[in-house]
Amino acid sequence: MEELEVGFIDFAEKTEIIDSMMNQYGQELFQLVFSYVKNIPVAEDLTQDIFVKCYHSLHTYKGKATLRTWLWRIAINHCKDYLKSWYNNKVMLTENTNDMEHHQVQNVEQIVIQSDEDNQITASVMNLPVKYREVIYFYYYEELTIKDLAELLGINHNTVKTRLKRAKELLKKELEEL
Amino acid sequence: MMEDKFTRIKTALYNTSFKQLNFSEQMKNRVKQQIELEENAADLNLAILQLLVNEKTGYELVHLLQARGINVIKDNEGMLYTNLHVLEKERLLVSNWSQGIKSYRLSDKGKRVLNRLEKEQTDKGHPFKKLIEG
Repeated sequence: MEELEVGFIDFAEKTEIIDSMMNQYGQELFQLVFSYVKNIPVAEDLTQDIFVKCYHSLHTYKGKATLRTWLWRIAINHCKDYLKSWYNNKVMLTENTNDMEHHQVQNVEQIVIQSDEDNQITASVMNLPVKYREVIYFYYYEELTIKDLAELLGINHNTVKTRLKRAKELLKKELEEL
Repeated sequence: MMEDKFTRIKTALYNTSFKQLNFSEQMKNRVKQQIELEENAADLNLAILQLLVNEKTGYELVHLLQARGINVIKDNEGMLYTNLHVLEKERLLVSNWSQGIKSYRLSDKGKRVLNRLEKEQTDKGHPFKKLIEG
């Protein structure tokens, strides 16, 4: 995928940049956000917020990371802030875990063509605690290297490895029980 | 066997949850609308602060803002009063009732914020993003 570049910025240009960022990265970002919040309407809102936030922060982009990574970082922080405030507000915890099933039931046609195995794997991944889910997501879904993952999440190389190992153990346990 | 399942994660996620996610044109448009709204509000707020270095009534403000080409309030004077209310609540403005007419001027805090914003604007060469940091 070709990387977008940001140099000088004014209103029209910034709008244009956000526009192309939405076209190029919108879909994957929506998925990334969903992998954190596990709820479609919430993921929609947060994804939109993230692009607005990104618009306001464009002038802080220094070109050290790729624009895509920079956007992902904003997204990850935004999602974690949301989850934090959400837990702090003690909103019903049960709602969250059931969301997967709920959304899967929405489209009957899809369910018919989906293999049970895919559903089981997805459910197990989505049931992981956030710190394990995110490493699984970026490693297996976005196919990042351990090094890139460490940089993206701002954690140590070895921590990524440990978490990945632990995440796989958890997944294994859950998938074997089925 | 288990490794197979791990390598299947990508396909599994793609085939299940992610299939229902579509970053639609509608969502893109909502982002653009939000940005435009915030930019307009920021322009309006800066102009309000600049005009209220000296005390003015709402009525005077409407005319002066229009004279400056701030068109967002053209068909929506209510927006001006909403912004005045927010700015007052943030203690950037102080108001004063006299003979049934409310007038506004900058508070000390408002003066400091205005200075900062005008400085930012010249520094960056483009309008500030957010008037009141949330």
